[in-house]
Amino acid sequence: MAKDTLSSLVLAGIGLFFLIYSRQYDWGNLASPGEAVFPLLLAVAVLVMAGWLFGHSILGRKTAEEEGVPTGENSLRVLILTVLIVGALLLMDVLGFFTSSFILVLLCCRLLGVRQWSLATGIAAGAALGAYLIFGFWLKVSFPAGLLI
Amino acid sequence: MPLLEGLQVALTPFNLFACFIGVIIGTLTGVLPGLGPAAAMAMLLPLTVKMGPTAGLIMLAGIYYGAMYGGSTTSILVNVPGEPASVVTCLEGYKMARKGRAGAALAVSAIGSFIAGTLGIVLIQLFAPPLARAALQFGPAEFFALTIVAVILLSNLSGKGGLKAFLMIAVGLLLSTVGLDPLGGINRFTFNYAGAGTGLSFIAIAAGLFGVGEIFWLASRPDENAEVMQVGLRDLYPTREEIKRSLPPMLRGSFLGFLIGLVPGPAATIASFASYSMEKGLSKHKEEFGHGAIEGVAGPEAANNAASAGAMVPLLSLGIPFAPSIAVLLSGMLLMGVTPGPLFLRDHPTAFWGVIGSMYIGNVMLLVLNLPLVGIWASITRIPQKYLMPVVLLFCMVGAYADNNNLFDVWVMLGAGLVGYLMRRFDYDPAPLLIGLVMGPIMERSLRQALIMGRGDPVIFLASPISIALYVVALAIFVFTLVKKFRGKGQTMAATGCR
Repeated sequence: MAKDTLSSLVLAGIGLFFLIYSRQYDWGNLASPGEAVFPLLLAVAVLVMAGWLFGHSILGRKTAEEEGVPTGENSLRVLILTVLIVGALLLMDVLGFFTSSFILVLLCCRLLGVRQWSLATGIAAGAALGAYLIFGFWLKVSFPAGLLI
Repeated sequence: MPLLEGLQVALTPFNLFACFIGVIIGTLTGVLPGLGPAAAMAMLLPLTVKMGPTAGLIMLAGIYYGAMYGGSTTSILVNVPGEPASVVTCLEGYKMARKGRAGAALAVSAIGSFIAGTLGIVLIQLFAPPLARAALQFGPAEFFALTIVAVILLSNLSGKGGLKAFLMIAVGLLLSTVGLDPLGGINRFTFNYAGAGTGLSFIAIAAGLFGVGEIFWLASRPDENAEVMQVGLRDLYPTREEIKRSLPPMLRGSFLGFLIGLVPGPAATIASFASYSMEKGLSKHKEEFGHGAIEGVAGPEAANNAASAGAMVPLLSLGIPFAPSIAVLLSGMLLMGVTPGPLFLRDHPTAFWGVIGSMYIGNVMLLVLNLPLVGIWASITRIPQKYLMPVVLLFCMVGAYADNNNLFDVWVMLGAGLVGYLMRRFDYDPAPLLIGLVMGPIMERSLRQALIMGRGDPVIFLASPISIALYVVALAIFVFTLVKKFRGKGQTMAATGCR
């Protein structure tokens, strides 16, 4: 499927979601517009423009190379990176913010091509410690401590 | 003299330190390809909020204009622009480097940036206070008209096609409606989830779109090893002929850039392209363009820095951001309890003139940092992305979390990162979405307040000459865009030959 066709369908979906959801809020009247007016107008605008883009992508004449959905050879790395971040976020309540962040940075370094474990560990430890010293120690931001501490 | 008081404020040790750290981080951001000033500012926003309004804003402004200085280094030495505004510097700067004149190109770029930055600040002083006084005449209807002009200009100038930019602005405006309704205080689109009650965190979305999105994008690309030109301190002196040829383009670029900066959109990028075209047309050495013409470095570098200064004017006087980094600055101001706009100068003169004063000092710092330390900046460009990006990811997460001490914001950041990555793959520009997100509450509030004040009569939107003038401008730009599109005059950055 062409890039613009697919993206216009996704955008239309977003517009439709806001259109349906905003119906539960108050419209008010012209003299006192309610909280539904602005999102509803925007949702309609998104739907119209997404429809226009869809029509244009169907009727437009572009080569498959120009318009095709790109399939990069390293899309797998993006997927793994996403899974790593999701895993770190899920573990934060158990391991704490900085321990899970340390593990995330360590694995992220390895994924992106840092071959030596020692170097990856050093980068992860330095980054986690630096972030802790600035935000946790100095600025007193309260991060999830985890169950282990 | 308010500026002298501003300089006094900026010269206090803590503010001076904030300015120094800001310009260092900004230069680093500019030097490192990928990470832009908007992402860096978003990551550090919680830190700057804790520093207080004056020091915090000084640091954020330092990051913003420091990035413009730093961006040229990688363009000249590696042929990789550190940020989009430096794309055009690749054209002549890298060619100069290949001819052994890298040092001269870097020096001219730094001096041009300094002259433009300083002139830009003088012009801010001249423009911002009168504009702020004029803006006191603005009511909700006029502010609504102004946001309409901004939306149309942004869609025109984003460089990825008008319809897609319009769509992104609309989606940004839609996302801004999540959370508390600005007038009635009713929670919208939150699925009754308490963590979403404050709305989608601007910091999380900015860090996601521009920081995490970039990390995903880099992860999906094959690893590249760039060749970096060597530069010695002795090579940094331009010849007398080079200085003579550079000065007029620097001055022209400064004024052109500042004026373009006043207009919504990626002003710094457009200013550098416009200056390059102008210098190419005016130069007595046209044959050198494309082979390392110094005018092609001096003009655009001055223009992109002056445009950054110009973009501060609408923020400081009207409270409306016209660029992603400026949107982050606006968000920071709001978090610090400072409301930018016509009343900013009256209510917070210390912060206003302190920021302006710090810009003077920051420009001197940048000149001192950029020239002698060019070897260090060049060596930083050699650090592979695989070492830097995991660290950036961590700081994006910390920045997103620290905004509200809420893990929900980190999930929002991850979602925004994936969306930012997909936007790059599907040829969408994330900048209009971010600006839409910031402009949403301003637009909604002014729309609804105007209707309430007009007792439901839509004529209120055309009741004042200011509103009518703004709608005429919006219409003229819209028609001009359509005519330009049908004539097929598009401009592309792809022709620069940058990596």
